[in-house]
Amino acid sequence: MSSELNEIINFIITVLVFPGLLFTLIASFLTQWYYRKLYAHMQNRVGPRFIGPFGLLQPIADFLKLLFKEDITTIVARRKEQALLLSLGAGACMALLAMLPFSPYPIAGDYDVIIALYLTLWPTIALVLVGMMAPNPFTIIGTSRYLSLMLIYEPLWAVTLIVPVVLVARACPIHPIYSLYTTSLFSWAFWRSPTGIIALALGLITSILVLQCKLMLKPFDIPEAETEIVAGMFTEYSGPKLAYIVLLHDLEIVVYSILITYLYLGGPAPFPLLSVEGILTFIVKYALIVLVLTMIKAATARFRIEQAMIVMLKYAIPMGIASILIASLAPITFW
Amino acid sequence: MISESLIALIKALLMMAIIGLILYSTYLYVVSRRGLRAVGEKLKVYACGEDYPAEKASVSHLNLYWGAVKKVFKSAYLYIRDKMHTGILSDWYFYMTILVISLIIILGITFFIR
Repeated sequence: MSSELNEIINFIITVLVFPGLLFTLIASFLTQWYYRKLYAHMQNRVGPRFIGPFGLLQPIADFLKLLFKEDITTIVARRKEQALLLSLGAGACMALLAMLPFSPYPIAGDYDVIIALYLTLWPTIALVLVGMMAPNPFTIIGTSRYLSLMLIYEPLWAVTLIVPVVLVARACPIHPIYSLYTTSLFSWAFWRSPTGIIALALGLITSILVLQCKLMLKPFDIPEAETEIVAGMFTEYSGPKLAYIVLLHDLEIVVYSILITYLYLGGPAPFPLLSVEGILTFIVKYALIVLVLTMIKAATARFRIEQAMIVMLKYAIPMGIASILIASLAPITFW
Repeated sequence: MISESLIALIKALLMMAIIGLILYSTYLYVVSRRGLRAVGEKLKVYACGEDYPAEKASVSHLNLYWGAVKKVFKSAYLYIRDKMHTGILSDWYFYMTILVISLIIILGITFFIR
């Protein structure tokens, strides 16, 4: 009885505090501050500065300001369903974090990579439906562009998640197999394998490209190209719904960057997580992933939709296919 | 094995649902507290100052789907079209033969796999 009670309490703490609601919200606000500051410095601006020390509280102020503004819905738009979809998308992002080893109560089981793939699809589907629920010429164009990109990047995103999982499952079939949990613990070791290093390097580059596309960051910000189609998919949104859209976007950055940090870069490895060195290593790796995403965003100009398609077809798809083939077929040896 | 995976799935979905409901309740609370209803111009579809009829604002979901598919395969379609429609009959026969042979091979493979 007491063990069941303990399990329920652990689950509630996981959902509400770490790595659930509270942690993820704080992480998303801090990450927004970090990439806004980086992006500003790359453009010779100062970025968030006034609210809180070094402008740290600016993202929270922006979120609260939007949240308490008037909720405007046009006569042809749905009224409240968008907020429900965005909330569930955010919930899916947070549930993904609970599948990694840094969760005190990790959700893990054999083949849980399928659950992870399902959860990562939620924010994308939520954004597509949100775009379609407020009809407008610009919204429709934006959503159509997003759908076009989605047809290419979603399968690739699945491939990039599966590559390290397959490598680890083949070389060390430890229970739970084909699991994010096991993969996060052992993927680091495969950088010392001739097969692993090629598969992981190709997968890592593909995942960065795909992430840039999935998060609609430049040069793939085609669905919300503000100079062409106002705000694209989100033209009709303001107030609390826009606050939730921004929040979901930041949550996606946080969760996917942490996923890549764990699956490709080993999280806190080579140190244990519960040590100062481990936590610092993890933060540095995570910050590096966000830095790379921001650098690409700052250094490039927006593609047209067909240019984006060609880039993905020419570079990302061959690299993704090569990495999954190497990970699943090549013999694995270690140096 | 299956039960453990199933428990993981249920826990993940439960976590997603709980957090989703907390955030959605927050939204409902915030919206209900204001008590303001947008009126007039704010309710119209935004079209950069143009008057845009509400019935034109939406398009069929089928168009959305085919629009995306057309965009993805446009370059492939244009390439094949230019190669096949050269105006020379033998070119057309050549490509049609390749298509039919590929179809037969695919059907054959499917049959033997079964």
